[in-house]
Amino acid sequence: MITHAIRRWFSSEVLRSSAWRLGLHGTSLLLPLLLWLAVSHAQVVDPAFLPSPAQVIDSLWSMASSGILLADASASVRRVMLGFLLAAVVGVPLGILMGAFATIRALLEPLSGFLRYMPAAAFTPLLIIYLGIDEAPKIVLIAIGTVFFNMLMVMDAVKFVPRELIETTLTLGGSRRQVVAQVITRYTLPSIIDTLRINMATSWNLLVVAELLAAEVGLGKRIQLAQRFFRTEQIFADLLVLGLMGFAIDLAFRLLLRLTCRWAV
Amino acid sequence: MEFNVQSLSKTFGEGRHARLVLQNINLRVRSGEFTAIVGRSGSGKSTLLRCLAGLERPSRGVIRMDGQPVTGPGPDRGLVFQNYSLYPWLNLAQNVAFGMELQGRFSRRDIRERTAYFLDVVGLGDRRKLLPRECSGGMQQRVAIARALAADPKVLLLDEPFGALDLHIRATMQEFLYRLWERTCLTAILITHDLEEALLLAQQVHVLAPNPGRISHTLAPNFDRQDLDNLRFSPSFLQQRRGLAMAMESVESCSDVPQGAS
Ligand SMILES: Nc1ncnc2c1ncn2[C@@H]1O[C@H](COP(=O)(O)OP(=O)(O)OP(=O)(O)O)[C@@H](O)[C@H]1O
Ligand SMILES: [Mg+2]
Repeated sequence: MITHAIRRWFSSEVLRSSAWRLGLHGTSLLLPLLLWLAVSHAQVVDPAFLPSPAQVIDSLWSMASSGILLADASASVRRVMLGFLLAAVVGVPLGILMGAFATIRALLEPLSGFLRYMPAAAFTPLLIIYLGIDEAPKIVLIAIGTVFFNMLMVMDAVKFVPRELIETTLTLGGSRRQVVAQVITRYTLPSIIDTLRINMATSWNLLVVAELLAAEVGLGKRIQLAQRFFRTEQIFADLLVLGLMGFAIDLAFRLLLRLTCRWAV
Repeated sequence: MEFNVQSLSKTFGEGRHARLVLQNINLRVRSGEFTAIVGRSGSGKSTLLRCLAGLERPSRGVIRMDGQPVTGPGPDRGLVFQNYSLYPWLNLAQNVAFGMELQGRFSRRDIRERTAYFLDVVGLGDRRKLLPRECSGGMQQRVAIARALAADPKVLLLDEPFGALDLHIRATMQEFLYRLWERTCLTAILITHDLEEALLLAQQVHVLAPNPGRISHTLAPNFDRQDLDNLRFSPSFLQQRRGLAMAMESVESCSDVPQGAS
């Protein structure tokens, strides 16, 4: 709510014209690229450490044409999506229930508040012991790393549902169940989508950690291999792909928010 | 329909922090009556209305509706708040239809017809597709009233419904509510801090004196309400308003003694 107000205030000041906005967006992406071009062209840094954009694109192209890139990317996306979905399916409903019912909150808040501070990456040895070295530990790691944030962030969002809205629903003849399903959930939907968007970023971070363990394919795995052979241009290429995919997913979430919650944007 | 409140008291908190907010309230509202409860801020008006709605449990006493004790909120008592009460993701027509959909006892066709009817009643038939945020405060309140009525309550409870509106729109809305009451066989209980509003609209006016909230006066103003705008400034109206204001003042100056634990 507050962020909405602030966002509107700022946007009304400077960013009213979309030309201005596009210009700023372009600058934020182009400036670092130009800098990179300039630095690598001037050869102030050893190219073995800082590959040129051309080298990176070459590497990208060769990985793409050999099919490695597709295999890596699809393996990674699959892991992220499964872990992320698991965390969403468990975390969002629990968060809503925690926000809506004081008893459920009292039951789950201390536990999730505590577990949230255990770094998910530190669970990996245990997960490998329990679940082996296949896909399962990677997916579960991503889920563990985000599920408690989902719960707590959604729970917080529920606190912002106006009391009047809930009470009006009860006096219109709504049951408690309808209040939760049709009013609280619907009202918090924009925050839920935003929560998922934010935790999607965390999922990508954990993906790389997960793939460092034991994976045959995956973008994170490829980066690790590239390091072993000192192929910095490949590391750059994979980082670029990770960034672009994350960015695209982020945009997709923003689009989803716009489409489903026109009233809130 | 008959609403009956018998020796209702309400205390918030416990032990040393206990605070008596309503003391021994007795009220009776009959079918078709327009009742106003007036009192200044903090006198417990909202608490009383929330008890009537079933959103707050009385500490003592009973509220009965047609002989049945009120135990919780229900669709027989519609509620309109001061603000924030439209569903922001639904357009005006969907807002009006929402209560009927929740109840599940109306057919598709009934819902459609009643929605159109009540939107027309509040004069918003041609704005049905707007979202609440695209509407003025006055329009939103009219939709809230239409939504409450469409859910088919036996009594409409209004908690300072026009409190957030500017004076001009407020006068329009008062006129609107009064004509609506005249036209339909509505039973209404209106909470307000505005003496003028209470005297202007209601057949029964109960004055809630603060600390603890109790009914200090009850009167049945009997004006010719053909022309509300003129009535506001007619001598007999102003006189009665002044008399009531003074009576309230004298009660309040007596009640400034410290209150003991209940
Ligand atoms: N849930 C609650 N817990 C504790 N005290 C409460 C609660 N609700 C209301 N009160 C207290 O009861 C008193 C009456 O409140 P209430 O909201 O009924 O007044 P009001 O007449 O509606 O005032 P206003 O005109 O400002 O809306 C206030 O002093 C308030 O602090
Ligand atoms: Mg109040």
